[in-house]
Amino acid sequence: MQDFKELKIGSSNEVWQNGLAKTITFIVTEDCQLRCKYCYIVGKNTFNRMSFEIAKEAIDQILLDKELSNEQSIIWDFIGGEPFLEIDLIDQICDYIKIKMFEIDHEWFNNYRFSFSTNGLLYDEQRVQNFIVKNLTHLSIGITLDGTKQKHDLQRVYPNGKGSYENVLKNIPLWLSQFNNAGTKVTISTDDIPLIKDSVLHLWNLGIKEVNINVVFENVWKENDDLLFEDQLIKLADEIIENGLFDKFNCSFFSRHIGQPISLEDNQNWCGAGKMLAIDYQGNYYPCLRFAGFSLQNKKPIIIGNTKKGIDSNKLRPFLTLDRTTQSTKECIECDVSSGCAWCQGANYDFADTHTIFQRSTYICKMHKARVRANKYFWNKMDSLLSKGGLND
Amino acid sequence: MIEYAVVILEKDSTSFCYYNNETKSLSSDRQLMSIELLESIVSYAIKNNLTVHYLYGNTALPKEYETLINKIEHTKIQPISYPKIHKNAILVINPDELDLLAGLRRNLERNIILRIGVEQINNLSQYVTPLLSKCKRINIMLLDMDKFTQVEYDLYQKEITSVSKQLTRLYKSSKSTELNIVTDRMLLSEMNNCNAGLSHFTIAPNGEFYLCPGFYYSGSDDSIGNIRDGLFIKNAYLLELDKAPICRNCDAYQCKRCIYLNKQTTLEINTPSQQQCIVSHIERNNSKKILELLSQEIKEFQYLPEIPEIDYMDPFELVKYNNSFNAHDSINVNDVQDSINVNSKETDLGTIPNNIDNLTDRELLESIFRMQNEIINRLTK
Repeated sequence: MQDFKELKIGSSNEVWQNGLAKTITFIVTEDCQLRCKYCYIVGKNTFNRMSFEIAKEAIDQILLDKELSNEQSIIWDFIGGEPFLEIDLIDQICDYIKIKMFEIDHEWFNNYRFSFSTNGLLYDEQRVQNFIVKNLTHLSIGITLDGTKQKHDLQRVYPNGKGSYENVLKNIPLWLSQFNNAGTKVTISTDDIPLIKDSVLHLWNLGIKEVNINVVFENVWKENDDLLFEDQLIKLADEIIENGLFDKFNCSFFSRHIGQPISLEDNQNWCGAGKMLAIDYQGNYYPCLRFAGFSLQNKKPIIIGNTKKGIDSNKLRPFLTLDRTTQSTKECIECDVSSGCAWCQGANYDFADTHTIFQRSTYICKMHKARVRANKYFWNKMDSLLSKGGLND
Repeated sequence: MIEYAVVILEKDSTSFCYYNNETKSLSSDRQLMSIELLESIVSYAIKNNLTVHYLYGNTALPKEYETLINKIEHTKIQPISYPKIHKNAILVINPDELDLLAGLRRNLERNIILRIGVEQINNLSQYVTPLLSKCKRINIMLLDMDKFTQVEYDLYQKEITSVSKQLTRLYKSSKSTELNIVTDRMLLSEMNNCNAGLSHFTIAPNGEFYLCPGFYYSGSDDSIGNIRDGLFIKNAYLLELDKAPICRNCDAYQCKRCIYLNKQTTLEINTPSQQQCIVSHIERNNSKKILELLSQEIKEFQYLPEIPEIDYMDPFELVKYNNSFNAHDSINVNDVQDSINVNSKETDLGTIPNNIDNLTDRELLESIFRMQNEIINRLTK
């Protein structure tokens, strides 16, 4: 009989260095070819681009400041907008990083990754491919394909409203040939709910075995969305079990670890904002991308330093001491199914009643509870199958 | 529960705390609160059972204002340059008024607030020492704390040591002037923070409510109500000590935990700056030494709770990256003793001696039995 621990479904993603690596994010551009309807980046523009000089200043400061580089490994993350719009700059930055780490004999020289989240539109472009081939052994690239054509084109559109599905799809085989175990990130907003099951199955059929999928944190959820969501997950659960997909594919909506109460002793923050660093085109530092001006709808950016003066350690203190119970409502603290209920510090800040990161946004509450119910259904059915030895039949 | 309102009578009113009144002297027009607004405030205070702390400027108020002010239980906070200082007023001495100290008369009922700028720290003991025998209590307010570096910390340490010696001499000669930065921690067994927004709020000359005058003068849009609609504090839970991850683990009880400085330096009202924490710990650790010294010579001080030895100057060091930290996790023998003593007060076992070795087995067991389960769990671990 197969043990549930061997199942692909519900397994934790392998995170490089167990998630202990430092992450430095370069916001190389605030431009993107797309205008995805659910995107939290509300201030896209064509003029704010990072210069090499700013990137160099940041790298020098980070590599030479022990306080900023005390982790044993590093993820140099490139994001936008769409990062591959600035592939020449990125290539220059990455070359500089490698040379600098070598020159100063930094311990990160043998322990680094370059990481990208891309819309995939420029993936087969020659300059992008040259960069990939050059850095392949130190590279992670996630392309976002949002599901079926209907689902993808519902949200991920060009400024003229045309969907981008076909233009991304053509690059998926090349991407998977270079990154066999790559996963895609799917985002669910209210209009997407009826398309969840088909979208996840579609992505698996394309050979994308890891589907990391989340509902948006924004206040978009309508009455009965939670019931529709639950229905979609239950239908997906049935498909997974009936077709034996559980040991081949993963979808992050399913996890055994969600839906439990959390004890008061477990007071960890969900989000890592402040333990990472994002840098914008002006050389300003942020606790994460979501605190930069172009990500915020209602609040001022939170700048925690810059390439000239370094980190303002006082601005970082709230992020490094933020815990679960301080920012949560009594209802959340006492919630019976709170484990796995996520939050984003940037979204919390943007939606808060005052200028604070200590107010947890709870717009996803009903959706999380629906996910928990669907998980109970799924794992009960899985366990029943496991106990009957059904996996070997 | 809100107990009192701080009323800024005019835009040029003196600062009495850490904030600076940047608008002072910028305008030649006197921007006095309207008499109608003052009337409304007095009515509001009576209706809501509040006392009032009036903040004065340095120009005499019209007579009708004084008449209104006296209609309700209140405290006057007046700058030393005010023409007719009331005998019971709290007196504020600003950094540019320190030369007026020499002429100050002795009044052993008087509370004095001495605001010291960053460039004046090296003369702190020189300013304070003559005052020690002239008043009942001195509150030192260190300004521009966010600019402090190791240089200022060292200077402050030196000055606070110096002034403590003078204070010790006074105590030995049976005088008992209070000096916030030295004596408060000795007398406290729990946090004694400013509590802006919890026990008081501020009414500005524009009729708007603020958490404290600092929020008014910083020009922020952080109004928390007004005289027409009343008080409404959004996210008020962030004012509570248990919602302050650094402070709730701290025992620098004399710290004002200034939410205005917090906001200015860390952008969060519940998170203190490194400078505020270090300054408070310089004071705390100095108080520990002085208490040990005084308790050897003066009987009354032997009854005050011992201040434990700690190995940090900034409690942030204990909680950073460890968002489930609780200082009591690192409990040691001294902490055990303190726990028993604290608990014994609560349970009326005040006769248990400080030294745990002097307890009989029964007394020890009884004390452990009366401890909170939380502490017992930690001891077991």
